[in-house]
Amino acid sequence: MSTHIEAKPGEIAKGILLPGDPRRAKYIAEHFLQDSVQFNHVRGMLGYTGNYDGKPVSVMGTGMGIPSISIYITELMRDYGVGTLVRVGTCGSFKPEIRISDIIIAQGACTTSDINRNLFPGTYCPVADFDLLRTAHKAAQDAGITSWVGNVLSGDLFYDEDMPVGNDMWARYGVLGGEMEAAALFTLAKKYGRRALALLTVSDSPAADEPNMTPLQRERSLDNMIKIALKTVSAFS
Amino acid sequence: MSTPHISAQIGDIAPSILLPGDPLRAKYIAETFFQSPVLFNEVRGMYGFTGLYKGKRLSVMGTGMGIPSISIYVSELLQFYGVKTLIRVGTCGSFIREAQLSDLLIAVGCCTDNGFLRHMFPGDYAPIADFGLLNAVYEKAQIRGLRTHFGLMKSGDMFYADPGIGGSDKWVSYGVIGGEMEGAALYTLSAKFHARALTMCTVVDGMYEKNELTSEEREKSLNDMITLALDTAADYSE
Repeated sequence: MSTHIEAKPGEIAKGILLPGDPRRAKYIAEHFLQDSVQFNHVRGMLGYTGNYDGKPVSVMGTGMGIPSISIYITELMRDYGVGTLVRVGTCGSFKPEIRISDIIIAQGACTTSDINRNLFPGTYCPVADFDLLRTAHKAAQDAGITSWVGNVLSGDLFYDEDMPVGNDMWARYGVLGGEMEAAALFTLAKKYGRRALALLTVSDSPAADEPNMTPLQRERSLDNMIKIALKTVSAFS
Repeated sequence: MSTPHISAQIGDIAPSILLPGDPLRAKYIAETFFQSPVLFNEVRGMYGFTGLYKGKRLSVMGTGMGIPSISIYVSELLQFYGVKTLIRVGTCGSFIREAQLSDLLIAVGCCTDNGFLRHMFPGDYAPIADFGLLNAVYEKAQIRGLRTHFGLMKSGDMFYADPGIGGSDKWVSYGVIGGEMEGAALYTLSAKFHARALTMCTVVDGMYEKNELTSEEREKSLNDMITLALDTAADYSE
C-alpha cells in the first residue's frame, strides 16, 4: 500500500495503461480486460487489474498534469514494481493536418514545466522507450491505423491564454500536439529504469472545420488507441 | 552562391549527407567509399565531398566539435543547400557498463548542458531523432549483428568538464547512456527545416574502460558505423 494507492502487493500487474481520466480506466477495464478487479478507489483514482490476451494488465487513472501523474507513477514503479507504463491520453493538435481522432505516438516530450530545470544543469530530453515505440508503431501499422510519431509538448496550463508566447514556436520545430503529462512519465521512467510510452488521441484541433471532442467522447471513443496500447503492453509482459 | 562557411554552389551537395565531426574522417569516407568523389568545400579546412555510393549520390562533410560549430554548418546545409537527410557519424564516451569500446550508440534524443534551447524556447525543447531513420538503422544493424544501444545521449559543451555539477552523474541516473557534443543542435535545426536527422557514435571512451582508442584507431576503425550510415543515407538519396 502506498500513500495514494490502496492496492496490496501483487494486485497491480507489471504492465499498466494510464489514462488521465479514472472513468476511462473503468471503461477500459470493462470493455477490454477479462475478469478485472478494482484495486484502487482512493481519491476516486480508479485502478483495475484484469487479463488481456491471457496476460495480466492493469489500468489506472493518473489525474491531470505533471504533479499528479508524477505521484502515481512514482508509487507504481517504486512501490509496486511496475515495469511497462503506457499513457493513453488525449491531446490538442498543433497542426491543422493532424485531425480529431488521429493518434500521436510521442517519441519525445518538450515541456514548459520546471521539473527538469530544477533537477538538471541543462536541458533534459524526455523520450519514450525505443522498444515500446517501435512495437506500438508496428501495432498501429498492422491494424491499418495511421499514427504520427514525434514530439509533444507537456504543458502546465490548459488555459494558457495569458502565456506570453503561443504554441507557434513549438509547432515550427516539429511538435505535433500538446498534453500535460508525458514529459514527467518519460523522465521518471528513465529514473527508475522502466519502459514508458505515451499514445495520444487528438481531441482538440486548431482547424475551424472540426468540433472538439465532448467529455463523453474523450472517455469512450479512443478504442483504436487503447487496442494499440494493450498490444504494446502485453508484448512486454 | 555560397555561404560564409561553405564554398559550394547550389547543387554541389547531395540531399543526403554524412556528418563526422572530424574533416579528416570526411576525407577518409569519401576516398574509401565514394566513386568519383568531388571536393566541394575546403574553407577553414572543413572538407566536404560529394560522390557516388552504390550508384546513389551522397555527400560527406566535417562539422567541427561542439554545438556552436555544428549549428553553423547544419544551418547552412539545411537553409541554403536543401539537404534533407543528415546522419552524424561521430565518436562518444559511454556512461554505462554495457556500452563498450567500439559499440554503436544511437541517440533517440539528446539532452544538453548548452543553453541554446533555453534561450530560444519558453520551456524545455526535446531534440529527437527522425523515427524513420531510427527504424532503418535498427533493422540494418540487426541484420549485420552489430552491437548497438538506442537511448538518450548528452550533447555537452565541455569535453574537459569539472567533476560534480558539470559532470555526468545526474544525467546517467536519468538514463543517459553516453556523451558527445553535437546531436542536440543537429536534431533541433533539422526539425525546424523539416529534414530528417540521426546521430550515431562509436564508443571511444568508456567510464568503465581502462583503454582508449588512439587517434589513428579512431579515424580508421569506424567502418561498421560508416557503412551502416551510408546504406541508410542511400535509401534516402532521392
